[in-house]
Parts: sequence; structure tokens; C-alpha cells
Amino acid sequence: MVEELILIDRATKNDIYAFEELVHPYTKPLYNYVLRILKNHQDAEDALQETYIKVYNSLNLFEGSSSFKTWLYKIATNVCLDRLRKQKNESNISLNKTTDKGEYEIQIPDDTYSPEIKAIKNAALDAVYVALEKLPEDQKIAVSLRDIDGLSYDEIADITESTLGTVKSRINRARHQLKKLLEKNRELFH
Amino acid sequence: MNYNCKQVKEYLPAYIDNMTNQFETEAIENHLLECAECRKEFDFLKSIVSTTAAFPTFEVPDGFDERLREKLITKKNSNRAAAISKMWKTTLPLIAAACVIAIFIISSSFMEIKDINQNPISRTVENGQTETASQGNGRKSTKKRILILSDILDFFEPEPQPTQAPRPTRKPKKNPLPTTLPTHNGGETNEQNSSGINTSVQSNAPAENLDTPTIDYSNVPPKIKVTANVLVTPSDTEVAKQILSTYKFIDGYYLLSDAQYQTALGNFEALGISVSVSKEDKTAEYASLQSMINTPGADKTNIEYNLGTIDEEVSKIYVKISQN
Repeated sequence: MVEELILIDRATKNDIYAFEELVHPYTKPLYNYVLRILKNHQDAEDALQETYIKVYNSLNLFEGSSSFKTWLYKIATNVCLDRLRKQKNESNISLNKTTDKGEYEIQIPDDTYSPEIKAIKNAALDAVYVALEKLPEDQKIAVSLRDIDGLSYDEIADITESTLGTVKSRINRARHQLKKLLEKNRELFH
Repeated sequence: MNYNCKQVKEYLPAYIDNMTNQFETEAIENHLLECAECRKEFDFLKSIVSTTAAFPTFEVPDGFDERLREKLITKKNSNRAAAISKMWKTTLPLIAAACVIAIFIISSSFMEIKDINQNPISRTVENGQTETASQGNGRKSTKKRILILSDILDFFEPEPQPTQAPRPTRKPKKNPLPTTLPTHNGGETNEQNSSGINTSVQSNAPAENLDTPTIDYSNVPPKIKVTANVLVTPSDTEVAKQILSTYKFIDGYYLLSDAQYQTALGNFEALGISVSVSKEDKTAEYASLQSMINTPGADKTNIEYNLGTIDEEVSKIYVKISQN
């Protein structure tokens, strides 16, 4: 922790190598976290790069009242949610692709998992992730941070900028909803 | 304490995470010992949690570190260039003005000396000879040169301005736009940083700007949704956005906790940016939902969801930036 503070101090003074050393332990878990939200490697890498640039520019704003880890996750979460919002609002119209009736073909961004991710999952996992996608975003993020990233309720409250009670409520509702959605696949879980 | 099946099933998600208190834990465990059906539900839920945890992890793509380093170096260089550009923009006019004035004074002094040499002042001395200033000991031209030198030296020491009675004004900006924003140390000190900006804000500190209402957050009832409207000029928009850049932004609002808002408010006030606040009282709505939850036939899940939504709304302060 002290070492982290020293690295933060050096990175604040534009020491790029100190910054790289500072974020290195968090890169793989953070990459997998944004990958779960954005669902493809290219977007995940772009989002993580954008997160690190924001962190680098804002190190002097790091208050120290929360841990550096939760601060990183918080910024990454906001970057991902911004990207999802933009993806929802944007649609690609290919002027070259028209139907026989002269209508434009609209390409909608693919929001399912990329093939290499889908290939690894087994039936139970597949069922869980289909169910997870049906949860509201706040519940999905809360239960994902808890069950996959293993973060504490307090850490999740800090990352999502909500109270402990709200996190408990979200995880509670999310798990009840998942149980309901997976009832028909109960035999996969033993 | 004994729980029935419905109560145990309600608490199972929290029990799995050890988030139940001692009494709840004891009641749940006692019930699970006796109820096979609830044990099946517990096993099912645990299995879902452990399956979720088994989501595959992936290595970071090759070359990620190198690509990041390139972007960081580019960012560092652009930050440095921006800082140098700003420095030149503020000091270059001053340097240019000083050079022009110095050239003017020096050239004036050479013209004066030349004038003396061309038109010497002469006098008749005791021996009847005429003595000119240029033939003398040169004392007069030396004195002129010393006087001009003192004029140059005086230029760099500004004359004291006549005092004026202070005019009543709106709170002025304390400093020009700071190059860095202050860090906040949990509100434990009242020191100012080198930019003159307070690094802590007391929650009960009244706003000095008469247009900004005084809000004492320590006494705000628990179910009040607060929206803060930050009023900026076009030139201050980017600074305001930078102050809020690390917070969640959704549907036009930045979402801050109370402590985060107090810090941001201190920075806004230091820069002379005014903030107005509106409040929405959700106490009655919350109480109504709570009273409905135990009504027979009530959709408990939906009511709990709405209660959670209000909890979530009032745990944050919604901050919006608007241009004046």
C-alpha cells in the first residue's frame, strides 16, 4: 500500500514507468471486467486504454479516501457504460447495401459475446450468462463484481457510488431473478 | 429465533455472502438443518453463484503495454506542450513590451548625448577662455547618463498605485484558471494550496455568492433527491467538466456522493462558478411503498425494486453543467 502511494506520487509527476508499474497488477482483472461488459476484445482493449489515460490525467484528483483499486474499477465502469450508451444511440447505415425495394440496410452493433468467448462456455455457464444479460445493468454489474471479481460489498458500493444497503438490495434482487430465470435449467446445476 | 421457509429463502443470497447478522445466521442455519426443501434452494443458489464465478478469464492482448505506453507518452508530450504554450502566451507579451521600452529608453539616451556634443554649452572662465561642456570634465553628460540609467531601473519597479475605496462587487475569481486542480485530503485541513484554492470544505459552510442558496446537508432528511445546477460561462465549461470528469455521467448528470459533491462545490466556488440546488422530497413516496410491502397480495419484488431505486437516487447528488 505504501509502495502504491509512492508510485502514485511519482506518476503524478509524469513518471510514465511508475504509472505502468502502478497499474500492472490490475490490468488482467480489469481487462476481463471490461470484456464482460463490452463482450469483445477490441472494444475491451480500447476501453481499458481509455480508462488508463483518464487515470493518468486525473491522478492528482485521487482523493485516497477509497482504495486505488476501487477508483480504477469506478473509472472503468463509467467508461464502459458511456461506450454502451453511445453504441445504443449509433447505428450504421450502409449506403451501398440496399434491398431490391431500394431500402437501406441498417447494421446494428452485435452485442452478443464474440465467438472465442462463446466457445469456452459450457451449458450451465451459457445459461447463467443468458440470464445475466436479462438483468438491469446495475444488478448485473453488482453481481458480476461480487461473484466473478470477488470484491466486497463495501468495494462494490464505492465503485458504483452507491450505499451498502443499495448494493445488498441489488445483489439480493439479482440472485432471486437469476434463480427464477434458471429454474427451467435446474438440472444443469448440481 | 425461528424463520419460516419464505423468510429463509429471502435471506439466502445475503447468507451465502456472510452478509447476515448473528441472529439471522443462526435462524437460517437452524431452519436449514430441518428443512430439506430450503436446503435444495440453498444448494441451487450456491451452484449458480459458483458457476458465475467460473467465467473464463483471458490474457491481455499482446502488445497492450507497448500501445499504452505510446499513448501515455503522446499525452505527456501534449500536456507539456500545452503548459509551455500557456506560459509563452502569458509571458511573451510582457517580454516584448519590456524590450520595446528598453530600446526606446536607450535610443533616447543616445540621442540626448549626441545633442549635447553637437551644441556644447559654453562659458567664459576666469582666464577669458571659453570652456564648453564637452571640453570639461564631462560631468553634465555623465549625470545625464546616470539619470537615464536610473529611469531604466525605475521601469522595473512599479510606482505605488494611488489607493482607491473598494467597490462592492460579486465575488471575483481568486486566481486565473489553475494549471492543476487541488487534491482533497478528506476535509481534515483548511490549508490553501499554491493556487489559493481551499482543499477542504466544511459541510455547513455557507456559500458566499448571494445567488447560491445555503444548503446544510447534515440536516437534510434522508429521502431527498438533490440536483445541483452548475452555471458556467463558455470559457469555464471545460474546467467544470474536468472537475467532474472522474464521476459517473448518465443522462446529462454527473452522479456524486455527498463528500464528493462538497469537494467539487469548493472547487467551483474558488473559481467563481455558481451552483444552484433543487430538492425533490421522496419521503412520502418511500413511506407509502414501505407500507404497501406487507399488504397481502402485494408484488413484493417490484416494491423492493422501487424502494431500492429511491435509495439509490437519494444516495447520490445529481450535478448538471449549464452555460450562462
